[in-house]
Amino acid sequence: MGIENRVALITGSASGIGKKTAFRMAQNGAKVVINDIVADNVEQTVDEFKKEGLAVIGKVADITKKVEVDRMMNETVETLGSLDILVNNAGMERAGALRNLTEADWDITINVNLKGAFLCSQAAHNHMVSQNYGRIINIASRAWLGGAGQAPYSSAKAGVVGLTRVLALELGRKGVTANCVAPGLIHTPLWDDLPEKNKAFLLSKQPTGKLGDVDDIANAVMFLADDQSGYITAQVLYVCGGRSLYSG
Amino acid sequence: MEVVRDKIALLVGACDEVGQAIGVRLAQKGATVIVCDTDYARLSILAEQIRESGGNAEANPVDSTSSVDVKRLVGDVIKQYGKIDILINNADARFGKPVGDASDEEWETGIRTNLNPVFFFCREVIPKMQAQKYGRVINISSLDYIGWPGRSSYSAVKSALFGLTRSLSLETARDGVTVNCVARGDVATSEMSPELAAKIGESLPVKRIGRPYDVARAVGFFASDWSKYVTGQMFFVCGGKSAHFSMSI
Repeated sequence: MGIENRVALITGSASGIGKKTAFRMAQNGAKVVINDIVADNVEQTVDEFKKEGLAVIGKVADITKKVEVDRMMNETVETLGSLDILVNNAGMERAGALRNLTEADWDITINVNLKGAFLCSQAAHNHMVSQNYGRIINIASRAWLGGAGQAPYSSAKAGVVGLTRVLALELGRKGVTANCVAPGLIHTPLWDDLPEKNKAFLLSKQPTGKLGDVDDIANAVMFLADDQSGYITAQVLYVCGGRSLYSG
Repeated sequence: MEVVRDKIALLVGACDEVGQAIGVRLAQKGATVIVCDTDYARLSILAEQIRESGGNAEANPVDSTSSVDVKRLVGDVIKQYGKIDILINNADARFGKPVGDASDEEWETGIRTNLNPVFFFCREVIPKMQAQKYGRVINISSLDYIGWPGRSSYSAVKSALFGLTRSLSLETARDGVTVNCVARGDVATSEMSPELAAKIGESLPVKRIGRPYDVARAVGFFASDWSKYVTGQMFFVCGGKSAHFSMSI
């Protein structure tokens, strides 16, 4: 039942939503793999979790590089014996008006958010299919519906939703489900750094008038990652306080 | 995992197998469940089953097509328990004919049995939830909302649930109340032959048909504090069948 004793790899889990999700999954009995591109951040997070007595290992990898992703997945299976849950959480955004965006802005946003999810899913699914069990949870965003100034990010996250539906259709017969969690405004350090004017504007468009918190996302991920969620696949679970009901 | 401890849950349409599974699930997770439907004998059996497994449940029959009786029931529950935290609208009556063959009466019956109860219960319960600054409303819809030949009327009422859900979620967004739809896909019941269940299951991406428990688990998530930032959503429990369709709403 639940996620106990399952091996869960969460990309981009040395900070923010990924870190809290990893922590909650470890608290609930999963064996967790922390991934980030910065080695010091991985080491620090693993140390923090171990001090809490949690089962955790760290894997440094750039998820936009196939060689590094394949190595990370293979080492995870060698060390922990399986790979049951993959949370494609690593993401970043370069925002701006269409006329101001550079090719580099587009490339890095697409590579981290979309190519990374593809490479990790491709590498993980080999292990999941062989054991006839897997849960892939992709962290998309409410922004996949479109937002002014978010051309690369919206495109990448829309791609993640499409990828998720394909994974669900291809892998369903092998006991592997694939779903999205689509966060809206969530209270993270990035939010705290925003100018007050921007915060007020964003909150004015928020039906609840409030931010969500990282636990809201962790809860949704754990619900979908559960052993008992096998009849739920190809879905987008919006955790956005109703923000998806409006566009723009 | 998600809990609904000390919550008062009103479960409308409790007697079908999905309703029963929802009642058992909510009680297992700590809620007191008031099970409602028209058939008191079946309700009593369900309430007794829940109590025997260690949960709290009470049977309260209602004609959910009558706004007067819905008002009476909600009043009874408030008088006894002081609050309603969770409302599950599972009243469901399947019907369908090619549009040219459907009578006025059949159309009106479809609206009266599938849609009116949801409106009547929401109208009575949601203001109380807003006043207490807490509530979870889950409307059970169906993947049939997407449209099927011969089921135009049924699809129409199940689509209407989505519009109702979205509107109500916006009305209540600042009051600690969430309103969501869980849309069930194919679910095996005891009336379905094993052969048919297997055939349907084989047609789905996950290669198995759903169980009432699959729907009940999702309802448990939306009924709990785990979903406090989720509102206005249509969530499908359908083994991936929805991936064959447009997501235009």
